[in-house]
Amino acid sequence: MSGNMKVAFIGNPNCGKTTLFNAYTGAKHKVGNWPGVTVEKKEGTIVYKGHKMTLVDLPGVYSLSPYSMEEILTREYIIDASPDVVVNIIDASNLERNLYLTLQLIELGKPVILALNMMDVAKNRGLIIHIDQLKEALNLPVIEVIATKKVGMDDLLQEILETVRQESYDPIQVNYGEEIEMEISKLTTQLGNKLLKQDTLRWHAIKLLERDQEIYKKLNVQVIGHYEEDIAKGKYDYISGFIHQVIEHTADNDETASDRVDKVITNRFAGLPIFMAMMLAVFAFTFKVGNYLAGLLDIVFGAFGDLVSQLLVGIDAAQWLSSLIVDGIIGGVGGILIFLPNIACLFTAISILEDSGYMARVALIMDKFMRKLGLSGKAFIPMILGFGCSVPAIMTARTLEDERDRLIAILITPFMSCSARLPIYILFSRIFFPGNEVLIAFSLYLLGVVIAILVALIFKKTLSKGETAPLILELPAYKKPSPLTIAIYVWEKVKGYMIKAGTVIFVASIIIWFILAFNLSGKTDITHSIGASIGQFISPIFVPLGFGNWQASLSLIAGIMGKEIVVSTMSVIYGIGDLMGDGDTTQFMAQLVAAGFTQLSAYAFMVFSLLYTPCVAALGVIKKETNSWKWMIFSFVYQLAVAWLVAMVVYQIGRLFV
Amino acid sequence: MTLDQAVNSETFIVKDIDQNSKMKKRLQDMGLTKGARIKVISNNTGGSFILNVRGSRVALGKAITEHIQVECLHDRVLGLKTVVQAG
Repeated sequence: MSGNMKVAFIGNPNCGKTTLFNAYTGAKHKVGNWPGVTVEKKEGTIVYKGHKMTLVDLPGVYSLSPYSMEEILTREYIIDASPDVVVNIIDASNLERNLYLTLQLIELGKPVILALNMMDVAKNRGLIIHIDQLKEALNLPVIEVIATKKVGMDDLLQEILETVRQESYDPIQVNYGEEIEMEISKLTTQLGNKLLKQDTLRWHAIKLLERDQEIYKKLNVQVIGHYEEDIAKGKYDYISGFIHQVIEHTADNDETASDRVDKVITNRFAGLPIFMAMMLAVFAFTFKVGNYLAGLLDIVFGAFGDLVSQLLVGIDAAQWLSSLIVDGIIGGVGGILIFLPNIACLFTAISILEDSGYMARVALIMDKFMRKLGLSGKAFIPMILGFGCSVPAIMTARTLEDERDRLIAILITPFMSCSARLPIYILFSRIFFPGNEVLIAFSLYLLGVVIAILVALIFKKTLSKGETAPLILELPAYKKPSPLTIAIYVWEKVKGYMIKAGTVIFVASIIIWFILAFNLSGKTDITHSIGASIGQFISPIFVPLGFGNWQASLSLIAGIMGKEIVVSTMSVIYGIGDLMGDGDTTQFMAQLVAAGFTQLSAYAFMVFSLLYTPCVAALGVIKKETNSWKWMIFSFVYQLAVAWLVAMVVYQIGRLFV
Repeated sequence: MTLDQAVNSETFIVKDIDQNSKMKKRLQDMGLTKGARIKVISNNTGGSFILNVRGSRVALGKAITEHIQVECLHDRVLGLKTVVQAG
């Protein structure tokens, strides 16, 4: 068989499926050391010894019961897409629990290969795993791999080929005891007439006995009796029966280093202060290191801008062309790229938190507090990731078991101040609050969190009354963050940002430049341009907020495309290509003051920018994740209302004091 | 006794899990079944418990742990001994 083989990668959350998938396909999908990073299946094609193979990386599952989107997706894939081979990836340092899923996969009747991953970790913990014993106990091929170091990669592919070539497949069967086995055989006979695939008969029968609602609906068979507990226990007992011949503990690894760290990090008194300190460190890194690097980048940009200007003068370019290039493109795009170092630093910090295993602990530490709001601690993971970008953050809300809780998490995540809003704070606080940039930015981050929490409270009272699912969460072992993982992740983000600057922001800058240079009767000065008219039309809404000028209004409208565009629009309006240089800042400030900005209204503007509608990409993912236009439009409208209200309150109350 | 009264570093055997079937199923998937041995790693997180269940580290909220009946392994061994002596 040299056609296309379909190979499914299946395993528990956080066992290394995506790492292995990336290692084979050269893809750069995000990996993180917490359960639930991969939320969608990913496909990649490789060729091995002239055979084409499509590898499918599925989200991690603990079992094949239909209790979460991931589990349903995974099992539907195996049953309906019918892969040629299932590669069951197993965390070798956590063998016993991982094998529970293995036994379920075997029942599905597809050929299974075990890929024992993280053998190095297991060794370090003093575990010796007798592979031969494991092979014998399960009658399955077992391959040792270390995905992070690309060990055993070819062996696994070779095994896939051999398994596909095999004519027969003879898996072990867990014996559930006389009573249940009787029921199973009765059911398989009954189901045999239902045109099911022969090899899934036993699995379907067992699922019926487990009272699996999905299968009930599908098959429409009545079953009496409750066997789900016995069936689960049967599997675990089967594993317990042979596990002691497979694993040998050489060290007394009763309490691992991770356990000792957890006692401190999740301690009821120390947990929260440590978490706060971590977040402070993240922001300190973002601003201190980021600003330093941005200063270096600025020198490069400045030189480039001058060079282009000279070049344009040299070739005697038309005035409109040099204006477009210098003011429009270099101003708009450069005005955004300058913030790249800050953004890279922020994503580096978040990535370290994720890869070390700390992110899962955040859910635990914040659980008590979140429960007071009626949410699970798990809802805090999308919120933290929201500091980076709302789009992937909203997707990770899938780790929440309860649909209503997930919806609330999706709706509040955009209030978390994402990296695209950073340029707005840096720019405005540099001009109006020099020396206090970090404090001002931090106050906005905090405000975002507070508003998200208040809104969550309101939603919990209205949308989703009732108990929040109690916390069940696997805590991965801590590990030293991998520089390669972090580098790949940050590079992907930086690349994405540059592509965005080169496409969306580039085009937006040209459009903005155009509508500011022309009106319907031709070329004009800026105050009579189309852009100014649009801004003027909207600006009355912003009068109570303190920035009822057309420049601010136009920037905010443009910013719906992406919040970076707020700054790039401002740069084009005020013709500043170089926001880091002092000369420009002074000039820019004079212009902003002339437009009616004060310290207070600048702050109100930042508050509004923080809270108003999610950007187009975030709206898209809200639509996708909630599967409804209604919620997308809702989030657009309600965030606009919340932003207007909060910025108005800030401005009006501020006026009493200023 | 219930699991929420458990002390650190002790090993327990699960006797009974008093939860709705959906929750039971999720606990089973994580390795928590009747007869499973669990060890308490930390009961001091301010509401949740960190447990070692079949070699994996699982955090459970109080709302769950107070509905899990356990028996201390230590007591169980002692209990067996007394039976043997009495017999």
